[in-house]
Amino acid sequence: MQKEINTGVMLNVIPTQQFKTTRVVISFLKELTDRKELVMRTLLANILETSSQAYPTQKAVALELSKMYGASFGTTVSRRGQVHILNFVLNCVNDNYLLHPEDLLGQVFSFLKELIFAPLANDGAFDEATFERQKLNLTAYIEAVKDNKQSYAALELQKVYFEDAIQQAANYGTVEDLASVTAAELYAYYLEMLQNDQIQIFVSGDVLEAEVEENVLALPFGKRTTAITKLCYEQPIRTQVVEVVEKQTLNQSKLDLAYRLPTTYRDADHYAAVVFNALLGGSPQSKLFANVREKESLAYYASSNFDPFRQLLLIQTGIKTRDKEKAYSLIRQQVTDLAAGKFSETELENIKLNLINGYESRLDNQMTAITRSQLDILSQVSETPATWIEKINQVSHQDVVEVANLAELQAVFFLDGGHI
Amino acid sequence: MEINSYPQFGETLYTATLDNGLKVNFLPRTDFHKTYGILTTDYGSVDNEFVPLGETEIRRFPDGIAHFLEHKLFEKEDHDAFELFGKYGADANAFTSFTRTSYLFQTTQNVAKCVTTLLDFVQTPYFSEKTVEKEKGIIGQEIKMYDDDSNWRLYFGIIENMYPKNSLSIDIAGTVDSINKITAKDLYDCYKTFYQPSNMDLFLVGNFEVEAMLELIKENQAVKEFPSPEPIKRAEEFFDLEGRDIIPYRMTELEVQRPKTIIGIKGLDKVPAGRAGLRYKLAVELLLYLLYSETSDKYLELYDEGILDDSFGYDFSLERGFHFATISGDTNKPQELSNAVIEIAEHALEFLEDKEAAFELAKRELIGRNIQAMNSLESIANRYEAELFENATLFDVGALLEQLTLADIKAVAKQFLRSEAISVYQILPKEDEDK
Repeated sequence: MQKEINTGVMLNVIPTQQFKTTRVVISFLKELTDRKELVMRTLLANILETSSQAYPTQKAVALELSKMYGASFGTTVSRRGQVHILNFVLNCVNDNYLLHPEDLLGQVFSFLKELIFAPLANDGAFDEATFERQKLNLTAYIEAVKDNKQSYAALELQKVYFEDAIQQAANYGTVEDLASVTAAELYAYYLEMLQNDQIQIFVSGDVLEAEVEENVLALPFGKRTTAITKLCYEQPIRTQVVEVVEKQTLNQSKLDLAYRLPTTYRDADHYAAVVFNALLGGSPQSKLFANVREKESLAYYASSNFDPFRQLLLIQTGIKTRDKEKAYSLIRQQVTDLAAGKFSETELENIKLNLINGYESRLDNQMTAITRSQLDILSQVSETPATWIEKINQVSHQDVVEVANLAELQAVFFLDGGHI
Repeated sequence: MEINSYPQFGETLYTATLDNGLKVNFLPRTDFHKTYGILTTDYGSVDNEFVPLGETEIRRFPDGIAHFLEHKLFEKEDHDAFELFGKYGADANAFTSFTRTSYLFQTTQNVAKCVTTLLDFVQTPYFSEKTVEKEKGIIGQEIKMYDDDSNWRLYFGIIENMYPKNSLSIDIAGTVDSINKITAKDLYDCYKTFYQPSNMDLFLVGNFEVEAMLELIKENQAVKEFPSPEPIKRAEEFFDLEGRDIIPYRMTELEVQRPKTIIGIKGLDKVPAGRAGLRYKLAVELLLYLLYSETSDKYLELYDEGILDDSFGYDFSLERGFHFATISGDTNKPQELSNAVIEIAEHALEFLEDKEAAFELAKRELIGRNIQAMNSLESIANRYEAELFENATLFDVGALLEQLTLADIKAVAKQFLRSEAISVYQILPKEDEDK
């Protein structure tokens, strides 16, 4: 059931008996206009997750969740192209599986209402102590990402690849922007978000639609007028490949490559791009895994992933410093080979089977139907599992060759670990 | 076939032991799309001193050999097992821990073929000097990657403090030097000893038909020849009942942004066998939850003082022959954090006085989390314990939790939280040479 309960406020109920839990997701969606919004929304997510008027500390929040049989709750931030999504996600056991059932769904909605609409704030600003603590914690979190060399290298490559300042930054934003955020500024941003962001509410589980709707109507979401105009991010092609090298003292070096892959989400070439990525580096049967990692023993990991909302194909590898040139040409060779059609029908069919297996398997996760429904709304193209599978099956050898020829190397980041 | 029903959760578990000793478990979930299968041998990185099958003396094998064997089992003379699963659209993987090695697949299609492929590739070893040499490069890279992972270094740092004289303190993958000593003959010796069907179990969960699957597996096993089951003779376990081996404190400097501290509590007490062991484990988990989770007063105090943040967490491991707790966090005040964690442990009994209400809530939390875990086919199969907890699954946990009382938690606290069992390991940021 999909229903617009107010302008810009959508309710989606997805009844299912497959799971022993009920999952509620409340999403705030906005097309970003300023890089600072990234870090503000992350900080907001952290503050709203851990405090409210009725539950002023994370201890109070945690105790409330324990009462609801250890309901798991958290906020998440993510990005699809130009659209930022701040989610409140709550998962609780369905009453049917408890020895002593109680109305958990009602409790869940009261809890979410409290956390979203009654933040710990006074006089037009977030509670100063809470704000400062969370700001400090977020700074430490962002700094700590530098310790994970694989993520660090991928993020540095995105800085080099993207031209747009918002796209250059990581999903959670930057410490530079965070430094200047004040408790009053963030509170003003919160009010604006509450009033203007598009709202999508999803409930999956063994629930009654009427009961869910009654609970949702108790949430005071007013109508909103700013719609989302553009989902995907595109940038023009660059004629020169940009290469950046950074030196650190490490046991393993990282060599990452960014390709521009200009396809349109859920158009025919999108499915070919999905298959192309899987063949290149998306599975243990892929070219990168088989040739760079297994055959030449050049890398511990060698994989690719495709972001269809930003037209970016990212290749990541962990290698020995001295193997850099060899790995670099071998990686490029894999892309060239696919563009030249050097893969068999059997390889193609196996990869498709594997993609379908992965897709069907994800249907066994309660979040999947919610994510799919959200993408249907965002892209304004709805797609059932059956259509997805059909479209993947239709991708031909020639389709993959054509899409592989669209891929252009744009940027390289080499994290040089030194000669150990 | 043995049938266990769990009406509260709407689940039924089917168990059978085949003629060759292989134990199989089936948990049908026909409303799911996929089937997950995992074949496990009771053999891990700590098992490197034993009497090889057919010999009479204890021999020591190179560190990391169980993990090496796991990698090599996929590769055959003329093909790779990954490719076979690939043909069926399935995903395959494997992992080695301290006390077990598991091979697994998950698929939504060709379930029967995947089951036989799993059994066949694990039960048909092929090791040659040439392929063993090549693997050394790949595993060498894997070891190096872990060397750059500061959280992994922290974890192994505290294990080295707690078990300096035990093979537990050696990285599961071994060292670059130790794996270089591995030969194809070594792999066969380990394989023959630990991959006997009687030392293994298969757990299948998902969308399949139980009777037909059992028949298929029986037929698959019937055509293979196995030597008669032999008891495995591992080296005597080394007990350290007084905690004399423990190194109380060590630190190292690495390229990290913030100091990291980890506190280890080594189990010096004897864990009861079978289900009572699972009960013990759940009691310790409740204890640690009461002491160190977000719901404790002390946590909030330390959080507000900036001594701990969301990177703080705790974990309890209990496997064949050992158990320990770790409590860790990234913090600019590592000394304050270690001291606070130790103080809480040392005053646990006082802290637990009058905590009836908190205890009931903690129980609720763990009961609910256990039901949530049942959504995951992987959790159901991976958390099955054949030997250790007498075939316990997630479906047995709820009833055990219901029975526990605060008095049980106090008893476990007294037994497990001993001052002499505590150790600290820290990683501090390297001083910048330019400064």
